[in-house]
Amino acid sequence: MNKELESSITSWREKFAQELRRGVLVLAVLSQLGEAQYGYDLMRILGEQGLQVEQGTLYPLLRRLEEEGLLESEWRIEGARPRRYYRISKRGKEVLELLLADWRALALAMEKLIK
Amino acid sequence: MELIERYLYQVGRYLPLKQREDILTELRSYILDALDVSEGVEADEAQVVALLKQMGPPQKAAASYHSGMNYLIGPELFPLFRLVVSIVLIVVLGALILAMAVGAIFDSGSLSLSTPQGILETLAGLWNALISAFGMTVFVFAVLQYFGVHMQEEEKWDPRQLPPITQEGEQVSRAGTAVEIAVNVLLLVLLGIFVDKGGVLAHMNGVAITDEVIQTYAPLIGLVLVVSLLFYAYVSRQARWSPPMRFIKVLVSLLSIATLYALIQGHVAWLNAHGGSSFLTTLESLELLPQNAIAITQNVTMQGFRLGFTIALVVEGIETVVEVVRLVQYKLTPSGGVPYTQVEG
Repeated sequence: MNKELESSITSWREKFAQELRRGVLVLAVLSQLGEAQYGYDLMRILGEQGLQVEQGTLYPLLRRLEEEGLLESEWRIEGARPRRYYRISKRGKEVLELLLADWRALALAMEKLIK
Repeated sequence: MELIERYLYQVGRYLPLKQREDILTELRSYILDALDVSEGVEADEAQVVALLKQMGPPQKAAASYHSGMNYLIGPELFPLFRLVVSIVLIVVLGALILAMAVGAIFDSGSLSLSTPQGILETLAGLWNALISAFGMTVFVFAVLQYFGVHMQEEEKWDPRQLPPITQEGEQVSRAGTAVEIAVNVLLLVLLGIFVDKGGVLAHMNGVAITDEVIQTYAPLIGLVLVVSLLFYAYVSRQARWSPPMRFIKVLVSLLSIATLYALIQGHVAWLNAHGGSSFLTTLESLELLPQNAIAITQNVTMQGFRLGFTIALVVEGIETVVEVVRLVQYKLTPSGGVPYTQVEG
């Protein structure tokens, strides 16, 4: 395979992968915040399960979700270091249920298609 | 650590004031977590540098916090914007070129196109006007974008209202039609101004330079321009040229030709009565003396118009012949027309 074709396939794959991750990130985040977490730890948890997220993506997302009322946050001082803990709100839980249903329907559709 | 604070300060510069402290505190918290230092221990500089590099330049790090208002003109408005820009630029350019031509003919004072400096100034004015028109359009659309005004077409659209496909005929050129409409509008405006000023083109030493012939024929010229305008307005709503449309175009052209011919004859008659219809005969009958300056200018102006109308007549005539040829071709082809996949220039 010549180099041009290879590199364009790679960039295609990266774009696609990025779109997929962007698509599922909100669902992943909401699913993990049943208990209060702080940003860095959440990053670690998602990463351990195979969903790599950068600080520049996750932290602004957490802020936005809070602005939209899906999360609640509070600062906790642990030692000398303040940390912001996020937790899913009541509204967030409702939305999460709906998103989970959407996700399952989509996954089912894909399963059938790729058989 | 100082390096961290310097970084955070720079990021803060690009953050909205209200949320700045909050975001920076959170960022500092993240950095310290990522460096994994226990209290009181300074992190290794290399480590800090690596982390900050990973977070990206301050401006980029700050940018990820405003995903709200990222577009000056968003993807929904952009196609319309492009269309409007092209129309606006064509119309402004057309208006300016016409104004330049008019200025060159009428301007008995400073002939602005005769010196290099004059030409540069004119071009600069042209550029200025184009940039201003473009900027205004951008501004209008940016405002629309900001207030979230979008094209609502999608919802009310009905497939049944789409125009039928004509099986033959070339595509209507949208740019060409826009230009035709613009030119007609401009000529109407010029005609209006001209009539409003009582047929006076310019003043020379207190005496008016006029064109009586145009003034006499003004209603006819106006009528032809309006007819042409209406025709092209109709054309602009069609996708393709149908034979009936071509036929009407030929009729409109003939109307223009008749008017132009009348104007030319009128000018020739005037010229013959006022010193001759060519530059040489003019000089013979009106000697090149200061007291004859006004008369000579008037005469030359009329000759200029006659020349202009003659050129227009020739051009219109050629176009009409081409249209008639196309009409005849259509009548003669056995299948009744060109299949619609073929697009002519």
